[in-house]
Amino acid sequence: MIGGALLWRQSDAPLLKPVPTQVSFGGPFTLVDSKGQPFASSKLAGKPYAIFFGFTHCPDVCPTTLARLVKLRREVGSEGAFQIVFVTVDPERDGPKEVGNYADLFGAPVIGLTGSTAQIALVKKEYGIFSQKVGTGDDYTIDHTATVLLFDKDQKFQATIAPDEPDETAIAKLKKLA
Amino acid sequence: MLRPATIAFALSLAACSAPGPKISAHDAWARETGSADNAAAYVTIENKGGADELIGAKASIGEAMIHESSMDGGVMRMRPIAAGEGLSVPSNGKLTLGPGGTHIMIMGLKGPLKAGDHFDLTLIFAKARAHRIRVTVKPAGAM
Ligand SMILES: [Cu+2]
Repeated sequence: MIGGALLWRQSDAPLLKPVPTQVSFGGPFTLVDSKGQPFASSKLAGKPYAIFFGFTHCPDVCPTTLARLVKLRREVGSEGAFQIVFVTVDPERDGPKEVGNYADLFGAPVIGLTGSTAQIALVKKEYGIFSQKVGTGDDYTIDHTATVLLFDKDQKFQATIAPDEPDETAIAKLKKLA
Repeated sequence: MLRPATIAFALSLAACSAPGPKISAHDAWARETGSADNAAAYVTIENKGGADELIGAKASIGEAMIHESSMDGGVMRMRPIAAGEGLSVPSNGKLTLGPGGTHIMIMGLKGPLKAGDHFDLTLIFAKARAHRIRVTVKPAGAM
């Protein structure tokens, strides 16, 4: 959870340019798409992307964040401006169909991804994402990092968007991605 | 000279004269849902009278409870509000339940909520009478 702790601290402060000693987020991964097919991170290359980790049983913060990304993408330019990627931190309940239904809700292209427990654990580590199951039975919830990470077209980490960050600064960061 | 009973009566009158809450609720909405069997509903509660508290809710489509999403250093947590506690509806003020904060969590949905659907939500207050409102389901992209 070292990456999680770093992202945590970083998102507390106004965003600083990554300094050389700082951990950079991201890395190659293979997950599973909404059709149940393998999805390699190389598929994202060539176009910037915003990646967000959540779970489909999250009715408030997760859909709000995705709705906001869709809205910001329209404000920045076209749907081609950047890709929106949603990765579940709840592979137990979220299979390809569940992430697909969720991603399709927003009326704009969103890539929904799941994977095996091991695949999800690895991608969480790469992207500095913390998550923890809370409660038992079918109705558990998950505490998780709600920060959006931004990558340029060369898949290099550029910036984060915090959930409570004003639209203006988020838009400025998204415009720089192109 | 006033008899004790008269004094007690006068005091109780004084206590009663504190204005009661005057509640209205509007802009109730919920986001469209996918496969999950839960949803969040949002509403603005206005109070043109004395202070009150929202202490619970009932929904026609599932089990409702008051939840709070909070952010701690970038980590999102969602929890029911503590048992026996309510959300303050200030005197001559309002309480807004909105995305990313306090919301009415509805669990055990029998099917997905589609944009344009409606359902009933009853808001329960500490003092004011329960208030039934109609919730509109909006497209998932709504903010
Ligand atoms: Cu909730």
